[in-house]
This record gives sequence, C-alpha cells and structure tokens, in this order.
Amino acid sequence: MTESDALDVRALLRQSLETVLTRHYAFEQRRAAYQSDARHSVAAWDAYAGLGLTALGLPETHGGLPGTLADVAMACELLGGVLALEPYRATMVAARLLAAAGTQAQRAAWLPDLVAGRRKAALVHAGPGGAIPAEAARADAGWRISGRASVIPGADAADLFMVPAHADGEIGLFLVPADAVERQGYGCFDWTGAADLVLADVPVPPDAKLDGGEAALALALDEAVALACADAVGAMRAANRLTRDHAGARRQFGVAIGSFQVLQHRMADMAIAEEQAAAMTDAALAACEQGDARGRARAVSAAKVAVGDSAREVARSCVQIHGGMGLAEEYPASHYFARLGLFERLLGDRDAHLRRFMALGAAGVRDDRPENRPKNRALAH
Amino acid sequence: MAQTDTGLAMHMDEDRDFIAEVRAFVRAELPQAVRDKVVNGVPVEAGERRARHKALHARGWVAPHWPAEHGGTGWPAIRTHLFAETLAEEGAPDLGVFGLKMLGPLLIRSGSAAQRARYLPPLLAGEESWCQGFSEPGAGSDLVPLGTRAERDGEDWIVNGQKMWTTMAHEADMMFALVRTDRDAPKRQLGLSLLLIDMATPGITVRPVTLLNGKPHTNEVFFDNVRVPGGNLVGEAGKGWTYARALLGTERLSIARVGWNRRQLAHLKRVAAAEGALDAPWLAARIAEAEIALMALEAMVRAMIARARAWEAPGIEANMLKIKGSELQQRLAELLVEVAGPRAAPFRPDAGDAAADWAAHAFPAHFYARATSIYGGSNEIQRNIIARALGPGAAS
Repeated sequence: MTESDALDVRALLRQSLETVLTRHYAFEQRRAAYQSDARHSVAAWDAYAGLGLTALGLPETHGGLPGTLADVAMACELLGGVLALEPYRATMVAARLLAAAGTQAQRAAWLPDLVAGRRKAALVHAGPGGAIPAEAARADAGWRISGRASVIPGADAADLFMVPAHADGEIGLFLVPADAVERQGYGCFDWTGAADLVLADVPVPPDAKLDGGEAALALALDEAVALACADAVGAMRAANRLTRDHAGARRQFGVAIGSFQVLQHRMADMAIAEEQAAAMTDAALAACEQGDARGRARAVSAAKVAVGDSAREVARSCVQIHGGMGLAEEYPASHYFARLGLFERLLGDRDAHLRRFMALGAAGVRDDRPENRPKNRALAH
Repeated sequence: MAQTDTGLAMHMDEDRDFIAEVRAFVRAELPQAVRDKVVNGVPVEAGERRARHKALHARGWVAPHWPAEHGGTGWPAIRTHLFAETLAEEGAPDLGVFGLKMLGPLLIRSGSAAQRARYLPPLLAGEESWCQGFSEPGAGSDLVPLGTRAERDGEDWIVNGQKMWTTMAHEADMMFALVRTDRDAPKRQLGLSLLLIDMATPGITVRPVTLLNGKPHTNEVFFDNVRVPGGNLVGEAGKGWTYARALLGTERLSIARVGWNRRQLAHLKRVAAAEGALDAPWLAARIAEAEIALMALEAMVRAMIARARAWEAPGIEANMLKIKGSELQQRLAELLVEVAGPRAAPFRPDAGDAAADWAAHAFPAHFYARATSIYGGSNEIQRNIIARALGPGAAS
C-alpha cells in the first residue's frame, strides 16, 4: 500500500467513525451508557469493532487490519472529542503488547477475540516511571503472582490483564485472566471506568509468561502515553469549539460575550494550546514508530508535559468562559474539564515526565557547534 | 543520534546534506568574534554585517527567497526556511529584514521595471541598505490614521511629517515609507501610498532614540518639505495599505525563529553547565521546560510546513508561531539572566570579549528581547487576528 493509499484509508475510517459517533454519542446517550452496568456503551463498542477499530495494526493472521499507531491515535482523538467511555485505548495498548511480545500460543489464544472486539484487555501499570506492581515466584507448575495496583483505566471492563512482575531477577510480563484477580471497579470523575486490583498469590501456568519483557513494556507504556495525548487533543478541539460556540451565542450587556477582547485573547490562547498539543502528539507518535528507545522516551515525556500544559489551559478557560454553566453536570463543558484534568493525573504526572526528560536530556542539544568548541580553535575546515 | 531528538534534523537526506553544506559555509566564513556577539545579544557593527552580506552574495545565497531571474535561488519555500534557520542556529547575524525580505519582494511583485533595475542590484550586493517608514507617534499597531503626507508638485511628491521607531534609519541609505497621498479618500486606508525615499534628500532629519541598553537601534525621522521624484511611487497611489499588509505577511515560516531559539538554548545550557547552575534542581527544571517549549515550537513549524505542502497559503498558524517564538526568545533570555545572578547587575555597555563576558550582556539582551513581542505586529495584535479568524461562535 502506498503512503497516499494509507492516507485515503485513514480518511475513510475517520469519516466512518464520525458517523458512528454521531449515532451513539449524543450527550444523553452518554449518560445512559455511564449509568448502565457496563459503565460504557456496549452498542458503541460493537460499532467500533464493526468498523475494524479494534483490529487496526494487529497481525492479519489473527484477523487484524493494516494500520499504524497513528491510525489508532486518529481513532483515539475522535473518541476523546465525544468523551467516549469505552476502554478502547486500554485494550489497544494491551493487544499491541501481546502482538509484539506474546508467544505464538498466547497470540493465537487471545488476539482473535481482541481483534474482533469480543474481549477487552488492560495493561496493569501506572505509566512510565511507575513501579512494577507485582512479584512472580516460581511454583511447582508455573508461577504464583502477588501484587496490587490502583486506578488502572479500563481494568473494570477487561477480560484479560497483562501484569508486569519481578520474576527471576528481571521484569516479566504475565497474562492473567480477569476472574483470577480481586477487582474493585468504579467510574472516575470523568465517568470513564477504572479498577483497583489485588493479585493474592494467583497461580498461573508456565506458558502465561510472555516472550518479551522490560523493553516491550517500556514501548507499550510510551504508546499508552502517546495515545492518551491523542485523546486529550480530541477533547481540546471539542472543548474549544464548544467554548467558541458559547461565546458567540451567549449575550450580556447587549452583545455576544465573544465580542469582548479579553475573551477573544483567551480563546486565541486556547487555539494555540490545541495546535501545540496536536503537533507534540504527532511528534510523540512518530517517535514511537522509530527504533531509538531513548529518543522515543524523550519525545513522549516532552509531549506529556506540553500536552498537559495545553490541556490545563483549555480546561480552565473552557469552564471560565462558560460561567456557571461550565460547572453543570448536564452540559459538556464540565465533562471536558474532567477529562482533560485527569489526563494529567494518569500515566505519569508532569513532574515524573519532566524528571524523565531531564534524565535523558543531557545530549538533547548537540555539542559540536562552534560556540561549544574550545575557544581559539581554528575554524578552518 | 541526538540529531533525531529535536528540530531541523527531521528532514530528508538531501535536506540534511544541504544543511551540512550551509553549516560548513558559515563556519568557514563567519569570524568567531561576530558569532560571539550574536549569541550574547551584542549588536554587530555595520561593517561586520556588510561583510556577511557580501560573503552570502558571492555564494549566490543572499536572497534565497527571491525568484531566480531576479537574483534569488529559486529554492522551494522549505529549503529557504532551512537555510535561514541554519544560518541563525550557527550565529550568523541578521542581514536586516527591510531590504532583502520586504522591499525586494515588494518591488518584484509591485514595482516598476525601472525601480527593479535601479534598486535590486545594489540591494543584493549590500551596497544600499533600507529602513521601513511605517510607524508614527500617533500610528503604531493601528497604522491607518498615520499623518505623514505627500502632496503632488508637478511630477514630484513633497513629503512632510514624522516617522517613529524607524529601526536602522541612522544607517540606512533608503526608506520605503507609507504616506498619506489623499486626505479625502472614502476610507482612510485608501488614501495611503508607498514611496521610496533617499535618506540623503534635503529636509530629512534622523534623531536616534537610545534604548536603555544604550544602543541606537531605532530612530525618529522628520520630513520637512522633502522632494521625492514621481518615479519613486510604488505601484499605484492609494494602494499603499494593500502593499504594506502584504509585506507584513511575508516570511511566515521563519517567524518562529526556530534557529535563533535553538542557538540560544544551546548557549544557555552550555553556560549553565559551566557555571554549575544545573545543580540547582529548579533552574535545571525550568531550562528543561524551555527545551520542551522549543520542541513544541519545532513541532508546530513542521505541522505548518506539512500543511503548506498541501495548500500554499498558511492561515493563522503563522500568527501562533509569532507568539510562541517570541515568548520563547524572551524566556531563554530571562533564564540566562537567572544563571548570571547578581553578575547581571553591573552595566558595562562596552564590555569587550562577548564570549568571556557573557554575564555582562545577559540583562541588556533580556531587556531587548522584550521588543520581540512588540515589533512585527504585537502579540496582542496577533491574538486579535487569530480570534477574528476563528470567529467567536464559529464552529470550525
């Protein structure tokens, strides 16, 4: 497939997903989905699977479709825009990790169901820089895993967990069926689902361990951050549109409040924040698809910091410009505030990513520039 | 490997070869003392600037953005952009925007054949320099009410009035000036015209305005019955506003000053490391944040280039880049002052070796960086333009 074919396919997919979201994500439908047992829309999830979103970029031998991380990110951005509740990102991160690092048998056992959207999965980890949540000890016929983790997005709905654990002095990844785990599921402030998990000496067979370990986990966590950034970009785009619409419609002192320069400048800054977040997300996604782990980690952490800063600015201004209506449960502005606010709390906060960026950063600017060379050295070439 | 981290490196191999060629050229030609001045924010001398101009002219690179038949290179916009950013990154001094970037393209687009023949060759050769006569005491961000007037006297124009904030007027040979030629035009902007004025004409007085950093960058210019030949009117009378607006919109890709910011970040990191300032965790974190801001600026420029490939006229992205680029310039200059600490306080305008005395230049450079959010359309004007394009209430 040529590059332009790939772009055409992405454009087509985007259009189809927009149609699906129009059908499933009116504001009232979202509330009903949240209040349902699943805490998300089962109909919307099935529609995503029907479009092939859950198959994107996964191995075709198991039913997957061609696609890149950027295609998955495109879907995440649209889902962020409608404040979707389905655990799409969590499932895709876990499925990509399984496809990249799982054994032949593990992939054959789980990927067809994940690809088809019949099952969901979650990676049990708090994000780059976070602790390994479990210990795996060898037992007679396999491993016994103990550990705990809290606020794992999508874990409330997952059928399968991928659990990183210290095992034999290294970091191993284990497949653990959800029913073997004590799980406390709940909705977060932004209505998306998450869970706290306890693994109490859970026995797993020897073939539960993935081939890949620490490096595969690091890539998966960076991908998770990049996809979360895409979701936040979608939410920012929508919040900015919502805010501009409100400023055009709401009248005070006899005029639309959008005619006030103080609000215009605030909305200009919101638009800049959106552009910056989108550009940094693209850079992080591109870095995830290149081989160099250090460059990838730097780009991803820089994106998490910059997108977080943008998200905070957009969220605050969105609520402020809406006035009291910006806090109401029955109007979307407050929900964008919640979604964007929790983006910064999950998968490593600003300080953690800034620290990681700095730790990797000494070589960020080349040292071979003339002004960095010892003085008085001849400039001749 | 570090090259994949940020910036200009994200390009095709042929671009990379080209950048290497430009880098090698600058390193071979540019004296270290001039580079040190640029990095430390010390104004370069007119003679030093002219030497740079002539070196670039000899290489055929002085006006890369012009069409080839007028002495440009015919490069695509992206290559021109890379060229300018690489020069800036290497510490090459600016050649001034008024002649090569504004007047040249203006005459190529809207000037007469005689004007092009008379003015473009000396401009390219660095033998004639230009200033821009737009702002006045009563007309800055809003130029439309400007009061300098030109009245017909036979074929000639007689100019009276005053310009203000005229950067480089004290060194310039020529000025392109926005003047009022019709006081009865139905709309005030329809009464404006562009004149090319020889600064040696009797009746012109230039009074330098010294800024607190002690350098005369800018001037007041007084016109007292200054006679300008009729052939020096650009295009049509009454269309000056249209031409002026087109000028202000040129060089959109370079407005972010990525190369400049990369260079200053490198300088900041080098100085901070040498001073042991990175041991202070908060300062180190602020420098890292500035580096992330630079990555974001570069990412925005790349996104804009990608979009410019798809359709030629970039929209409000350029206004966004002006804001972000100027804010980053200011932030980097401020961080350097933080590294300098109390050593930023003594004012030594004549401090000698710029590289050895970096701390002596930190505060003047920081002070002058405040101008970046004022000139070229203040950042508030940029926000107005962005807001107008988004249209409050308009769903995009």
